Amino acid sequence: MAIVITQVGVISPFGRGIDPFEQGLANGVCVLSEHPPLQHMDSSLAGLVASNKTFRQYLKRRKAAKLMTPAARLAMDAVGQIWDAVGMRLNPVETGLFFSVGREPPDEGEAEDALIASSIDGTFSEEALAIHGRSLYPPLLPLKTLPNLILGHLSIHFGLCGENAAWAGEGIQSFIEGVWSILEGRSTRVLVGAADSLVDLGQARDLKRLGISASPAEAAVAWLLEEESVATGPVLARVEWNGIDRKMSEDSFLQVSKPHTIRSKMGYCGVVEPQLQLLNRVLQGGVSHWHGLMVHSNR
Amino acid sequence: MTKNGQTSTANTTFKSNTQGWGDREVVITGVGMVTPLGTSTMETWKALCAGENGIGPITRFDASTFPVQFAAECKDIDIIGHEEFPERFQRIVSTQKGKLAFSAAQEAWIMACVDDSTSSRWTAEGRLGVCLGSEAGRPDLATVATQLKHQQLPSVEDLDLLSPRAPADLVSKMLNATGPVSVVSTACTSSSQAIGEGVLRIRRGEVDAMMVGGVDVLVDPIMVTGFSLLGALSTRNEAPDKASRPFDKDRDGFVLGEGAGMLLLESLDSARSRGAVILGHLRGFGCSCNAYRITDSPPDGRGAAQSMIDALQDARLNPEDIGYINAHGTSTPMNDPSESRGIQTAFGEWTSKVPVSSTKSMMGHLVAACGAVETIVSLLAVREGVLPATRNLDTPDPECAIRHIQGEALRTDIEHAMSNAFGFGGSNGTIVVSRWRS
Repeated sequence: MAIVITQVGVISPFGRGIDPFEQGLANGVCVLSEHPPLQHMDSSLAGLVASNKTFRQYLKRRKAAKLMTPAARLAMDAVGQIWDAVGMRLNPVETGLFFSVGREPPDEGEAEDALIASSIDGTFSEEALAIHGRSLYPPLLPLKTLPNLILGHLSIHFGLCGENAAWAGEGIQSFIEGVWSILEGRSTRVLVGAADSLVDLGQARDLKRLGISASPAEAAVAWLLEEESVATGPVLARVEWNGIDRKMSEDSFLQVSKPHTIRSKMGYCGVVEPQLQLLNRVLQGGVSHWHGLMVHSNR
Repeated sequence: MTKNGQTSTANTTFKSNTQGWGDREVVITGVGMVTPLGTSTMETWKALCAGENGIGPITRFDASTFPVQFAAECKDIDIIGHEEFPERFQRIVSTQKGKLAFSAAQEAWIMACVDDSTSSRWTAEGRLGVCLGSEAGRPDLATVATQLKHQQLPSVEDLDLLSPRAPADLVSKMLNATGPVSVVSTACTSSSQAIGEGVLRIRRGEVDAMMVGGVDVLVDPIMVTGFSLLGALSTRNEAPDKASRPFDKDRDGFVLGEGAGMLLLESLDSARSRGAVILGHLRGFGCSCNAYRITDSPPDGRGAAQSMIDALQDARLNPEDIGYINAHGTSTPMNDPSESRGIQTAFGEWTSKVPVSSTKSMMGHLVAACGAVETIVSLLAVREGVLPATRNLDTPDPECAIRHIQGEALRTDIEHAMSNAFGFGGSNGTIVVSRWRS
C-alpha cells in the first residue's frame, strides 16, 4: 500500500501556510522579536506567531476559545488550513487523528493569584485555599492543562471521531502512528501533527533551566496522510516505513533534537520542531530519513 | 458506520488485514496494581469480589474546609529494589506517583517470572518497551507557596518530576527496557490507549514484550478544588462510602482516586519459548473520539459505541461472545446514560444479556490509571469466573437500561470480557481480554 502526503497546514513565526515558512527559511530571515513578558530574562526574544486569531473561523461555538491553550489554537489553525482544502471530503470515522503535544503549563501560572491567597506567611495552607484561594481559582484550569484537550478540540470542531491518540512530548511519534494506522487498515486517511507554545514566562524559564539556550517559540503543523488510491489532491510526498529504531525512544521532552536551521531562525518550538524539520526537508526535495521513516518528496 | 464503511450493528464485520501486519498474538504474562482497595493485585481483587469500599475521608491534607472532603486514597506502600538507581530515578521514585508505578510494575514483572537470559536478551536487542498512560505531575503546593513568596523558580529537578514521562522513564530503568518508551496523555483514556499501543507494537514485531499501564495521583488540594468547581465530584461528604454509585438514580458525581496498573504483554512466541504462564489473551483494542464537547459525553453514546465496535472487530468477536463489560461507569449524571446507550448501540439485542458493572463504585476514579486497572479486573473476571458487582447501585437509573450486576458478585464462567475507558476531551478506549486456550 502506498501512503502519500497531500496536504500540509503550518502556522509558525514565519506566518500562516507553507509559502511563508518555505520562503522565510530560504531567505534566511530571522523572525525572532521582542516579547515584553520575557523582559526580565537574559533575552526577551521569542518566535511569536503574529496573528493567532484565524483559528476562530473553525470553531463551532465561539466561546470554546476560552478553553483553548495557545497550543490548541495553533493546532486548530494548522488543521484548519487542510480543512479549507479538503474538509468536506474527509470521512469523519475513517479519518484518524494523532497529535504530539507538549507539556502544558503547570497550574501555578494562571492559578498564581489563588496560590498566593492560599498562603499564610509564605506557607501553603489548605484552609486558606478553601476560604480565600478557591474564589480566585480559574474553574476551567484543570481542563485546560490536560494535554489531550488539543485532540479533543480538533475532534469536536472538525467533527472527527475515528482512531486517535495524543502523545506527550514525542515529536515525530504522531506521524509514525498515523502511518501505521493506514498500513494496518484502521484508517484510510489520517490527520497528524504537533503543536506547542513555549513563549510564556514560565515555559521560557523552564527551557533555560533545562539547558535549551534557544529563544522560545510557538508553532503547529498538520499533515494529511492518505492511501494513494483515495488521495484527495496532488501528491506532495510519499511515505515509507522501514521499521523501528531504538533511538526513537530518546525523543523525550528533555532530549528532543539537536539545534538546526529552523531553531536559529524562529526559536525552539518544542515537540513541533522535528515535524517542522521534516517539512523543511520535504519542501527542499529528495528523500528524508527519520529513524525508520522515509519520506520521498515529489518536488 | 464502521471504519470499513459498513453499517454498524450489533453484529460486527471483521476487518481483513490485507497488509500482513499485526499477525502476532499478544498474551498477558504479568499484572500488578496498587489501588485504594489494596497494595497488590490479589488484595484488590479479593476486596472487589467482596464488594468492599476504598473511599473515605481525605487524609493526605486537611480537607475539612473543602466542599469535597473524601477521596479514594491508596495506603502507604514501602518499596524495595531501587536503592542502586541514579539520583534522578531516586527522586522520581520518592514521589507518590513514582512509588505507585514502581510497585505495580515490579509486581507484574515478578509475576511474569522473566528469567535472566531472556531479560538480558531483551535489553541487548531492544525487545522490551514501555508505554504508560500518564498526565503531567503537580508541584508540591508548600514548595510553590514558598517559591512565590521568595520569587524563586522551580529547579530543573522539580521540572523533571512534573513531566508526564517521569513514571515511564522510571519503569524503563527498573526493567532495563531499551526498546521504545512512550507516554500517552488522553486523560481518563490514557492507560487504555497505552495498552493498545503496546498491543500494536508487539503485533508489528517491533518488540517481544511491552510493559504497559498507567498511573495517576490526583488527590491534592488543587485538583480537589478544580474538579469541585467544575461540579464533577460527588459532594456526599456525610457518607463517602455511598458516594460512588454508577448507574444509580441518585448518583451525583465521581470520586477522585489514585493508583497504578501495569501489564506485561508478550508475543505468544516469546511467552511460549520461555515457558511463561499465560494469564490471558489481549485480544482486541478500539478507540475513537466523541467529536462532541470537551466536558460532556454525547447523549447517544456514539463515541463509546464506536470504540466498543472497533474493539470487537479487532478481537474478531461478536457481541454475544462477550461475557462481561467492566464499564467506565464514573457515577456522573452524564457519563452513565451515555455509556449505557453506547452499549445498546454496540451490543444490540445482546444488551439485556451481557452483565455490566463499574468497579469505580468501590475504588473511585483512578483517571489515567483506570483503564489499566480495570483491564486487569476484566482479566481476573475471565480467569476466576467472578464478575464484581456495582456497589451502591440501589435503584438503577431507567436511563441506564443495561444488565447490571447488583448486590453480590456474579459467579459465572466467561470466555471474553470488555473494559471501557472514556476521557475528558472526548477520547474513548476499549480493551477486550480473553481466556487463553492454547
